[in-house]
Amino acid sequence: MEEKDIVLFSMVFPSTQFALFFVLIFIPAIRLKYQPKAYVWYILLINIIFYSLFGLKFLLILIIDILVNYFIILLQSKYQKNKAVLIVGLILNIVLLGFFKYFVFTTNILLQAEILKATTFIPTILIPVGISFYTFKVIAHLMDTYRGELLKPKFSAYASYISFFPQITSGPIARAKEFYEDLEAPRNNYFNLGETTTLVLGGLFKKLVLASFIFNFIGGPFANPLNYSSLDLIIAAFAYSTMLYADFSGYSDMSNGISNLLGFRAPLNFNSPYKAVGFKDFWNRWHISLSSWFRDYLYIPLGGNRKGKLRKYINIFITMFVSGLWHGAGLNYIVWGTIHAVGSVLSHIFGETEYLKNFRDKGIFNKFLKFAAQILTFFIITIAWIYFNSRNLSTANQFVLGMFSSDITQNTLINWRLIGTVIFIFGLNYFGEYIKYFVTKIINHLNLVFAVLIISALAYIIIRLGPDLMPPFVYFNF
Amino acid sequence: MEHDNKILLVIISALVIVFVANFPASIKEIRELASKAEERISLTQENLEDNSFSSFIMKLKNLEDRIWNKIKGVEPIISEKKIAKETSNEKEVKEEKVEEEKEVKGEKIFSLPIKIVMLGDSMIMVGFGPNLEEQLIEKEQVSVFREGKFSTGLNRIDYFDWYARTDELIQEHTPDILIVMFGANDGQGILDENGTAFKLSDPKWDEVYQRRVLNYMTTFSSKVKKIYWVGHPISLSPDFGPKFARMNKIYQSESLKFQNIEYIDMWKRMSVDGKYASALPSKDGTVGLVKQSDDVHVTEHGGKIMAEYIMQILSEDIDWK
Repeated sequence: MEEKDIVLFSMVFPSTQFALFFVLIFIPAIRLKYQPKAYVWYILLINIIFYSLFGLKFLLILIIDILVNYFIILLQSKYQKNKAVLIVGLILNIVLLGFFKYFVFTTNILLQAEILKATTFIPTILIPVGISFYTFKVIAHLMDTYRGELLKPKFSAYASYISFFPQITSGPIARAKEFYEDLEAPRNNYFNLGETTTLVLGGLFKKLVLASFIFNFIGGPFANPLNYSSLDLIIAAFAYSTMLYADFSGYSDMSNGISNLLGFRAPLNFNSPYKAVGFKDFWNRWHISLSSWFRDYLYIPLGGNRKGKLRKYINIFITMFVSGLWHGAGLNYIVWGTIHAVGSVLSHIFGETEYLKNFRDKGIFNKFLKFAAQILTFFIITIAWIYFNSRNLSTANQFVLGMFSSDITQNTLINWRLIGTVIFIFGLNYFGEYIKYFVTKIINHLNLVFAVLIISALAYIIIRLGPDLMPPFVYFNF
Repeated sequence: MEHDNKILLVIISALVIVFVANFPASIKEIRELASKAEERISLTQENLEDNSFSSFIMKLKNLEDRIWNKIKGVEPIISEKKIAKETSNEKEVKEEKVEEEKEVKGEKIFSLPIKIVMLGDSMIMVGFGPNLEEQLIEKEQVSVFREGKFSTGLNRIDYFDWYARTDELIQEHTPDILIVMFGANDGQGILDENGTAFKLSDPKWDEVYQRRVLNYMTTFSSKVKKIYWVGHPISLSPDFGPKFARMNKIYQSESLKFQNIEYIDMWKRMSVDGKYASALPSKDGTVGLVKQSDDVHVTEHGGKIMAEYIMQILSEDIDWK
């Protein structure tokens, strides 16, 4: 909105402003990379500049957050393995995150319960950009320090890690240990020119061309499903599944490409998620940095699989349910989390039950069945996404029911470009790695002049195929 | 370091090439901008002076644009309720009915079936727009088309041209009613017809924006039966509140110049005795927060209340049966 938000949207990765920003910060980085003491402060400086573009109030919250949590880490290193310090740190961070994320939800409950009067003045609270992602990093750091897996970092390194600009808005949630290692021993790059180009341009293509194109079609059906035919709703549901994948994995790829150029390892965040056989497999492939965060910092502290099978299933259920709640406070998110919680528990049962193990090992579970299981998983996950993306629970229910029966007979989403794009993204999910491999190989074999020309041509095609108005990133909302 | 230098060279070269390849388009946009405010609808590429080399380049670029647009396809339909059982005969009957409509105050202006197009900025996309669409499609024989675009309005028509898009939508859907809401992104510097820039703080800004609004109203009031112009809800934001009050004044004063344009005072509806209200009850008595954290967009609940108010106003004009 208006001037402030124009700046906000302009500083997302696929923008000229960001490209220029990156060139400006990358030139000094090339030299400074080899002077770790200076480089850490340099990274911190560019993180602050980048984040300040979202608003100085947000920056202030981030700085206070870092200072307070660094103080807790100092206490942790002084009173090692002290549970009280850890608990205080965790409570502070969870309360902070909960306050911003559930302010509206909680206030509405208080209003409806008449604990708050309608006439009460209630200030509007802006949610700081990326608060979930940097809070997750903070919590992980506190727990790793408590477990003795991390030593007390220098303030500059800690602040650089928490505020690392390629990851602050939408992840991936990188681990501190690897970040500090990279910070102390800067190297050229983990990826070569071809790999970096494929990551950045591939991400740009997925986000700017594919996800943005689909975005144009799905707003209507998800807002008012009663206005659409069953076929339209089915197309919209699959379109959203593929759009979310293109949007978020595209963002992660760009983020990883940029991190890599600055000399930091890039956590794999997506691994052909719609190839998953079952929910357990899905969460090993989708938003991997988040699901591994939930595993390491919620599931394992809950007891993991150490307290018997029943307790393990309960822990899985709780972890997935909390993941649903984190995504949003509405009932639709609770349903989404519950579908994944039940699905994950069933996946574990299926994978562990002796009878089913034998059933699988005997070879009946052949390629065809595996493919059928992949499709079934994809269908159920698509249904779950409807709850994730709907305005509220009743709209989501209308959508799901409308897929089977609708009063509207005229179809408006039978558009070959849309259907073609959905199929293409689904294909990318299956064959993306091969395409990546070949493009990387071609670029690496070219001499510099041809590489420049090919990369420029690809960038130009992507920009021209992109929309005039870029929709927001889905995960900016979280 | 050699590897990094190579990458830097590739990035800079690619940026330069992409920028140069897009350069004529940028020049074209700058040249068009000044004339857009007053001549949006009639302006075509051919109207531009074409006696220079840059003009030739622009024509090539235009051709290229058309090719890309062809590849990307036409503007997709976002949302439309189909009158599933409507036959061609019914369509004729409807047209006859429109002929007979009595535009006398106190009587219903419209009878069913009726076509409505809703358009505007993000307010039409989230919160308010979907709720109004939901309430409209609950009515029989009402077809609704809703299109919203983030970060758009009547100011930055170089970014997105609502004048041209509205014209396209009217041709495509032939609506009886247009419901519009603009302005959330318009509170920034503006260019007048001669390309002179005016800051928001300049009193002349109001005059230029007023002409933009008047131009929109003049162009489209003759193409539909009625336009409902939705004003901004009250906002406490020191950024947006004063701007919204200024813009609402313009929408209200300009709409008075047209018999078939009705300004909807959402500022008043979303306040209590003229004062800001964080929470309001909807028709069913549920109380909830009405504004999102930016104090510009409305919550689902706020959108529902706004939609209920519009439905109440529409009910004065439409015989829902």
